[in-house]
Amino acid sequence: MKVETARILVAALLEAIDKAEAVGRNECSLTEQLQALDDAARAELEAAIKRAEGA
Amino acid sequence: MRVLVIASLLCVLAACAATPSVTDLGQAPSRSRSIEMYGTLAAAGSFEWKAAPAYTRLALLRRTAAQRLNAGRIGVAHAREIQARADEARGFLDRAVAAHPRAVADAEQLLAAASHLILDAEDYMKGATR
Repeated sequence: MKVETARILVAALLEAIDKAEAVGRNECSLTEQLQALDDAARAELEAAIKRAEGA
Repeated sequence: MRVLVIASLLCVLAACAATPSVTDLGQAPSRSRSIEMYGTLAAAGSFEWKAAPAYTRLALLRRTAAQRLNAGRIGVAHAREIQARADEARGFLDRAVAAHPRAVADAEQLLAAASHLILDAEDYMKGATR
Protein backbone atom coordinates (compact mmCIF):
# COMPACT_ATOMS: atom_id res chain seq x y z
CA MET A 1 0.00 0.00 0.00
CA LYS A 2 1.35 3.45 -0.89
CA VAL A 3 1.95 5.89 1.95
CA GLU A 4 -0.52 8.38 0.45
CA THR A 5 -3.24 5.71 0.40
CA ALA A 6 -2.42 4.65 3.97
CA ARG A 7 -2.63 8.27 5.19
CA ILE A 8 -6.07 8.75 3.64
CA LEU A 9 -7.21 5.43 5.09
CA VAL A 10 -6.07 6.36 8.60
CA ALA A 11 -7.74 9.78 8.38
CA ALA A 12 -10.98 8.19 7.19
CA LEU A 13 -10.93 5.68 10.03
CA LEU A 14 -10.35 8.38 12.64
CA GLU A 15 -13.20 10.42 11.19
CA ALA A 16 -15.49 7.38 11.25
CA ILE A 17 -14.61 6.86 14.93
CA ASP A 18 -15.26 10.52 15.75
CA LYS A 19 -18.64 10.41 14.02
CA ALA A 20 -19.66 7.24 15.85
CA GLU A 21 -18.54 8.62 19.22
CA ALA A 22 -20.35 11.90 18.58
CA VAL A 23 -23.67 10.07 18.39
CA GLY A 24 -22.82 7.60 21.16
CA ARG A 25 -22.49 4.61 18.87
CA ASN A 26 -20.20 1.74 19.72
CA GLU A 27 -19.52 0.76 16.10
CA CYS A 28 -18.20 2.80 13.22
CA SER A 29 -18.43 2.22 9.49
CA LEU A 30 -15.18 2.67 7.63
CA THR A 31 -16.92 1.75 4.37
CA GLU A 32 -19.49 4.54 4.72
CA GLN A 33 -16.74 7.03 5.47
CA LEU A 34 -14.71 5.95 2.43
CA GLN A 35 -17.80 6.04 0.21
CA ALA A 36 -18.40 9.62 1.33
CA LEU A 37 -14.75 10.41 0.62
CA ASP A 38 -15.07 9.02 -2.91
CA ASP A 39 -18.34 10.89 -3.43
CA ALA A 40 -16.55 14.13 -2.52
CA ALA A 41 -13.64 13.30 -4.83
CA ARG A 42 -16.12 12.51 -7.62
CA ALA A 43 -17.80 15.89 -7.18
CA GLU A 44 -14.38 17.57 -7.18
CA LEU A 45 -13.44 15.94 -10.50
CA GLU A 46 -16.84 16.70 -12.01
CA ALA A 47 -16.48 20.38 -11.06
CA ALA A 48 -12.97 20.48 -12.56
CA ILE A 49 -14.32 18.97 -15.80
CA LYS A 50 -17.16 21.51 -15.96
CA ARG A 51 -14.73 24.36 -15.36
CA ALA A 52 -12.37 23.10 -18.06
CA GLU A 53 -15.24 22.71 -20.52
CA GLY A 54 -16.44 26.23 -19.78
CA ALA A 55 -13.00 27.73 -20.22
CA MET B 1 -8.29 6.10 21.19
CA ARG B 2 -6.55 7.72 18.20
CA VAL B 3 -3.18 6.45 19.35
CA LEU B 4 -4.56 2.93 19.68
CA VAL B 5 -6.08 3.05 16.20
CA ILE B 6 -2.90 4.34 14.60
CA ALA B 7 -0.81 1.77 16.49
CA SER B 8 -3.16 -1.02 15.37
CA LEU B 9 -3.03 0.15 11.76
CA LEU B 10 0.74 0.28 11.83
CA CYS B 11 0.74 -3.30 13.10
CA VAL B 12 -1.60 -4.31 10.28
CA LEU B 13 0.63 -2.67 7.70
CA ALA B 14 3.72 -4.26 9.24
CA ALA B 15 2.03 -7.65 9.18
CA CYS B 16 1.07 -7.18 5.53
CA ALA B 17 4.57 -6.09 4.58
CA ALA B 18 6.29 -9.17 6.00
CA THR B 19 4.16 -12.14 6.89
CA PRO B 20 6.31 -14.38 9.09
CA SER B 21 6.29 -18.15 8.95
CA VAL B 22 4.87 -20.26 11.76
CA THR B 23 8.36 -20.79 13.19
CA ASP B 24 9.00 -17.06 13.10
CA LEU B 25 5.91 -16.51 15.19
CA GLY B 26 7.31 -18.71 17.93
CA GLN B 27 10.71 -17.02 17.90
CA ALA B 28 9.81 -13.36 17.55
CA PRO B 29 7.41 -12.07 20.22
CA SER B 30 7.08 -8.61 18.66
CA ARG B 31 6.02 -10.03 15.28
CA SER B 32 3.71 -12.47 16.99
CA ARG B 33 2.00 -9.56 18.68
CA SER B 34 1.51 -7.84 15.32
CA ILE B 35 -0.15 -10.88 13.83
CA GLU B 36 -2.30 -11.28 16.92
CA MET B 37 -3.57 -7.71 16.57
CA TYR B 38 -4.16 -8.26 12.85
CA GLY B 39 -6.31 -11.22 13.73
CA THR B 40 -8.28 -9.10 16.16
CA LEU B 41 -8.90 -6.40 13.57
CA ALA B 42 -9.82 -8.95 10.94
CA ALA B 43 -12.45 -10.40 13.20
CA ALA B 44 -13.95 -6.92 13.55
CA GLY B 45 -14.85 -6.93 9.84
CA SER B 46 -12.36 -8.48 7.48
CA PHE B 47 -14.17 -7.73 4.23
CA GLU B 48 -14.54 -4.08 5.18
CA TRP B 49 -10.77 -4.00 5.69
CA LYS B 50 -10.23 -5.75 2.37
CA ALA B 51 -12.36 -3.27 0.45
CA ALA B 52 -11.01 -0.17 2.24
CA PRO B 53 -7.78 0.25 0.20
CA ALA B 54 -9.76 -0.01 -3.05
CA TYR B 55 -12.18 2.76 -1.98
CA THR B 56 -9.20 4.85 -0.90
CA ARG B 57 -7.36 4.39 -4.19
CA LEU B 58 -10.51 5.31 -6.07
CA ALA B 59 -10.91 8.59 -4.20
CA LEU B 60 -7.22 9.33 -4.66
CA LEU B 61 -7.49 8.59 -8.40
CA ARG B 62 -10.34 11.08 -8.84
CA ARG B 63 -8.66 13.74 -6.71
CA THR B 64 -5.38 13.39 -8.59
CA ALA B 65 -7.22 13.56 -11.92
CA ALA B 66 -8.94 16.79 -10.82
CA GLN B 67 -5.60 18.31 -9.80
CA ARG B 68 -3.97 17.29 -13.08
CA LEU B 69 -6.88 18.63 -15.11
CA ASN B 70 -6.71 21.93 -13.22
CA ALA B 71 -2.98 22.07 -13.90
CA GLY B 72 -3.49 21.32 -17.60
CA ARG B 73 -1.59 18.05 -17.35
CA ILE B 74 -4.48 15.95 -18.68
CA GLY B 75 -7.25 16.87 -21.09
CA VAL B 76 -10.99 17.05 -20.48
CA ALA B 77 -11.61 13.88 -22.49
CA HIS B 78 -9.08 12.02 -20.37
CA ALA B 79 -10.66 13.32 -17.18
CA ARG B 80 -14.10 12.19 -18.38
CA GLU B 81 -12.73 8.75 -19.19
CA ILE B 82 -11.12 8.47 -15.74
CA GLN B 83 -14.40 9.53 -14.10
CA ALA B 84 -16.31 6.92 -16.10
CA ARG B 85 -13.83 4.16 -15.24
CA ALA B 86 -13.87 5.17 -11.57
CA ASP B 87 -17.69 5.11 -11.56
CA GLU B 88 -17.64 1.61 -12.98
CA ALA B 89 -15.15 0.45 -10.33
CA ARG B 90 -17.23 2.09 -7.59
CA GLY B 91 -20.27 0.15 -8.78
CA PHE B 92 -18.38 -3.11 -8.43
CA LEU B 93 -17.06 -2.11 -5.01
CA ASP B 94 -20.50 -1.17 -3.65
CA ARG B 95 -21.95 -4.42 -4.96
CA ALA B 96 -19.08 -6.37 -3.37
CA VAL B 97 -19.69 -4.79 0.03
CA ALA B 98 -23.44 -5.36 -0.27
CA ALA B 99 -22.94 -9.01 -1.24
CA HIS B 100 -20.76 -9.83 1.76
CA PRO B 101 -21.27 -12.02 3.79
CA ARG B 102 -24.38 -13.36 2.01
CA ALA B 103 -22.40 -14.37 -1.09
CA VAL B 104 -18.73 -14.45 -0.17
CA ALA B 105 -17.42 -15.81 -3.49
CA ASP B 106 -19.36 -13.20 -5.47
CA ALA B 107 -18.14 -10.46 -3.17
CA GLU B 108 -14.52 -11.54 -3.63
CA GLN B 109 -14.95 -11.62 -7.42
CA LEU B 110 -16.54 -8.19 -7.48
CA LEU B 111 -13.75 -6.78 -5.32
CA ALA B 112 -11.14 -8.32 -7.63
CA ALA B 113 -12.88 -6.84 -10.66
CA ALA B 114 -13.03 -3.42 -9.00
CA SER B 115 -9.34 -3.56 -8.09
CA HIS B 116 -8.50 -4.46 -11.69
CA LEU B 117 -10.55 -1.54 -13.02
CA ILE B 118 -8.88 0.86 -10.60
CA LEU B 119 -5.45 -0.34 -11.67
CA ASP B 120 -6.42 0.12 -15.33
CA ALA B 121 -7.70 3.63 -14.63
CA GLU B 122 -4.50 4.52 -12.76
CA ASP B 123 -2.43 3.29 -15.71
CA TYR B 124 -4.66 5.22 -18.11
CA MET B 125 -4.16 8.42 -16.13
CA LYS B 126 -0.41 7.84 -16.03
CA GLY B 127 -0.36 7.42 -19.81
CA ALA B 128 -2.53 10.48 -20.38
CA THR B 129 -0.47 12.76 -18.16
CA ARG B 130 1.92 15.16 -19.89
